Amino acid sequence: MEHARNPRNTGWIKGVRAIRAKNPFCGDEAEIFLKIKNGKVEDIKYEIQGCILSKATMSIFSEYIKGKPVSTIAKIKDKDIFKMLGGAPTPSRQNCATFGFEALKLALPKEGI
Amino acid sequence: MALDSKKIRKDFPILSRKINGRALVYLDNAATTQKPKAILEKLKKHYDRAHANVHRGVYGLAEEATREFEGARKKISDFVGAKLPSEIIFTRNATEAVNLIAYSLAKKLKRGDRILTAVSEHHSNFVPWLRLSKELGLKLDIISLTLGRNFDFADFKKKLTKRTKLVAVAHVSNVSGYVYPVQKIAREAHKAGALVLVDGAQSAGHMPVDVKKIDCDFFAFSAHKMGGPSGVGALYGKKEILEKFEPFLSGGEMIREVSTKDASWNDAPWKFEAGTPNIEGAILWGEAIDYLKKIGMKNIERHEKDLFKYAFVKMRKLPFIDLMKMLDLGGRTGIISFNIKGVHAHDAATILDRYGICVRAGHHCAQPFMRELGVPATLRASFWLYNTRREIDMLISALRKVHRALA
Repeated sequence: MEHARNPRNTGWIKGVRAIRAKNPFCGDEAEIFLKIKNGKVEDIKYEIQGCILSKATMSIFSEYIKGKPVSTIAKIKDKDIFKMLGGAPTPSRQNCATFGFEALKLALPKEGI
Repeated sequence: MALDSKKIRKDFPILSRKINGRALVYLDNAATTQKPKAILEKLKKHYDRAHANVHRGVYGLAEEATREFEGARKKISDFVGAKLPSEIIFTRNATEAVNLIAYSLAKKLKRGDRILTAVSEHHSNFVPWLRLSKELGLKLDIISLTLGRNFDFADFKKKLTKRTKLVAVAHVSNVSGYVYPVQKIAREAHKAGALVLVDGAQSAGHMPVDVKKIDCDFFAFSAHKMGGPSGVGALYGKKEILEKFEPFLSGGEMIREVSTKDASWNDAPWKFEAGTPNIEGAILWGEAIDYLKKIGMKNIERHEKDLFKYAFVKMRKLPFIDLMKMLDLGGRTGIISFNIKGVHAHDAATILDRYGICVRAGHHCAQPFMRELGVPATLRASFWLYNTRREIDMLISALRKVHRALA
């Protein structure tokens, strides 16, 4: 709840191309800015229009991945995300939680994964 | 006559179950309705006594099953006021009924022809036309909405041209619950030489329907949204038009004669019904219709309108409820879409579920409509014959709690 009310790392990064993603289940939208240096996530910012679950996950996740190598992030599974959240949401809401991660995967560079 | 809710609710065993320790308040009837126990009893009777494949068998049992199956077709045809049972084609659902027309109509259209539909349509009556337009180089014209998000008849007339070959509109919007003026639409469309398809998924089972009076050429509807089982729906089509249309799927039953070189087609509706149909689905649908007829479609319509007005008046008084300008009171059925200001629809629905209340949250398979409303999603409560004012009170009280907790 706290993360949803006060999401961390929101905003833009100048000079980085935004990756836009849309959750087809509910219409939530996110814009992610990812700065990568030497194969590691140096900075992440995002704008998200969505529900509590998608906002909170995006916030927790953005804190988690900062400084981590891209190769590690690429290996994260849905169940790891549910662990970060403290438990899996009901089946119909799981896509809300994984949305940010799915969007982020689009932003990750393909090489080096 | 007011409906005897207490008595009706006893016919739907699921309504007495608990959800999260609370009485189930089922308000997602536009998605699918619950089933009266009469259809389960009918299924048992059918399986225990009268089941066989239909049409082909020459033995008595097959004839009995065929009689039940074709009897269901007659009940469905009477229910929507068709002239003949043979004007009813069984499909999987309303979506397949629309796709059947899209497929068969494709053979008759050419580049530059136009199709006219509304921005508020369910994807099932929108995406088939979008695809067809792209495939055949047709022009897809989109009717916009009035300020109150209702069907814009003036815009419809403006966009109807001599090249419009088909007008495809909903009878009742699955988002706003507005009843569209399909009779007037059909009259204008026919003057321009266009065919008219009405998506009746949200009207059949909620109000009296008379396809002859509407004078539409096609009417698509579904069993599961009116107390019947899922997996069966129907397309009504005027006999003289169906005769001129090419078959949809190919296989058994739809043929008259097949050689190694050629095949000829059965009469309508069977030429559109390749393969073994959903026999028990159709029969149970017939049973559900018997049930609805006993209660009376006019009574059901009145009951739904009463529930809608009751909910609408209460919601209008709540400053934290956004009705997104859908404020016309007349010409509506038992569907109301809304949002709690500052709360995402999915979060609200998840909390309502804790109180045993089932509402829909999302884009309701009408993304172009959502874009018009300027929201990614809405909440939607939709009523049927078994819902009560008390349930709406429970919804309103739960909405207050959601607002307090999340906004």
